[in-house]
Amino acid sequence: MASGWRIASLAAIIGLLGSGMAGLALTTESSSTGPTGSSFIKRLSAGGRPLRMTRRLEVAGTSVSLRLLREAAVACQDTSYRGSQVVLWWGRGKASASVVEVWHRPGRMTLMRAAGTAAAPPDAATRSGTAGGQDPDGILGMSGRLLVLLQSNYLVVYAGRGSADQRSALIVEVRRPGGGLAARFWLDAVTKLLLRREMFDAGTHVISDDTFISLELGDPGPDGIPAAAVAPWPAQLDQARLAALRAKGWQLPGELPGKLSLFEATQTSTRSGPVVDLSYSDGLAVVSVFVQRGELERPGATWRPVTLRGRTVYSVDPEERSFAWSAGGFVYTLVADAPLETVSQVVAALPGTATLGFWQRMARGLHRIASWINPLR
Amino acid sequence: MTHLGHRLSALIDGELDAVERDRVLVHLARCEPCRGEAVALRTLKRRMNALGEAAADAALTRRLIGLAQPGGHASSAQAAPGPWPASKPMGSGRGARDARPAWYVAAGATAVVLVGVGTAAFLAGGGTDQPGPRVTPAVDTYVLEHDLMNGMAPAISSRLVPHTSKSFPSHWP
Repeated sequence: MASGWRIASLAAIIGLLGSGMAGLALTTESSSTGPTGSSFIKRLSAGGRPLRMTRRLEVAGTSVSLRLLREAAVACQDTSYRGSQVVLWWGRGKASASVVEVWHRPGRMTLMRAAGTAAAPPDAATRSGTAGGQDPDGILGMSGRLLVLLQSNYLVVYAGRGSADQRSALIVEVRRPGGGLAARFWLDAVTKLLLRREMFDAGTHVISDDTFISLELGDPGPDGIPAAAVAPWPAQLDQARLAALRAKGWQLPGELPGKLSLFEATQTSTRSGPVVDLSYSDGLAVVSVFVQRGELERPGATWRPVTLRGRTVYSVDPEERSFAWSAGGFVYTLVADAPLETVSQVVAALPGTATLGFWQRMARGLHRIASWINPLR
Repeated sequence: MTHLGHRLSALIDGELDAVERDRVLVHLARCEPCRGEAVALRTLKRRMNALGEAAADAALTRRLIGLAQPGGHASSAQAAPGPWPASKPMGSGRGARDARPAWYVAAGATAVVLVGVGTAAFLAGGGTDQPGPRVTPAVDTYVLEHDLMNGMAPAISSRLVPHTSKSFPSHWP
């Protein structure tokens, strides 16, 4: 009789465990249909479940967050809106903060202007997007092509609900392969528009915080939008033209450290010759490298020399987001929305002023002195 | 003196709620002194954190070194005598008294010539081999182009720096 009770109890426990696991599996499957399930996923992951189950849950959470980001990229292109953003950047020695007005119409341009400059000339407003108007970039860097890079370089995870600009938001976190937080997105729960973005350096310190402080949905009409006066450089450089330039001695790398891939190359002409703009990104950080022939003229009054990974370059702005230097007969100008450590890696990877060793410099100097005093020269 | 008081510290620590945070950010966007205060406070906090980590690391290192020493005391190694013999007292050899002055003059003259030629060669060896045309990059235009490429707001006035647009024609966008 006692053994019968034991068998019955054991069967009941096994049954309960089995039904629990089945319920858990069903919850996992259904989580891919909505973010609500992912918050459950997150709680489970944090609870130290077995690895196999945790991995399945993380994959489900990633698929949810990727779907959200894809929807955000579409929403940023297809939704009419206007509003104001605060753009905050933490530099090494200085912070910059601005309030920016933004206008967007589907299939058109995204116009941005510093708040309080309504009376400014038309070139204070500008347009965002490629020359042909296809796949214009959304605000706060949310676009289809950057999302592809983001997906291949980072892990994206749905992190729950929150709010931004007094609107209900879905939070998606972008994590580095090692697990460190790289960025956090707040997506409008209704429209999936990107409401806020925080970016972090490798030490998980905030380096930028861009957020809407007022957002109005709907088309303001042509009269409610300022005129666009500036367009991107028209000449797109394909692989063949890049190869031709490289053959002429231009250093135009296809990849840069930090998994930065070349995603856009354009060119324009100036009096001193052509200038090539190379845009790189890993999906989050965006770095533009401008290359032109020549030697750097004496630096501007506000420029100051800084040393990045042993390379001395000029920092053009106090926030240390723009740098210039010359090397090998070319002038390089770097403009970055990226952590300083990434910028340092990029500077070190690009051509720099060749730092001769002591004996090399002595030999070159002796050669020059000999040529000066040579009467047969 | 900041206008934000304790809210500045709370912003840096991420302790503000969304509404209060937006208010503080808008104020920062328009108040240069508070931005400076924010950067100073943030830098101070980060340095304090780094200082704490460094102190912990140094203490750990000392303990590990102490454990590695025979008997577990780093100070005993420092007090141990060195393997080198005691130096001879000054002036015990033949030294200066026997050196001939002519050698000193010759050696000194040679050294002066070598140093002079070396210095001249070092200075002459600087610079670049083939200097090209001098250009000043139009950084503000580049910043605009960069912003256009990635969708960030191009009208961040603090990022637009004055420049001499020597390299660019008047119709440059």
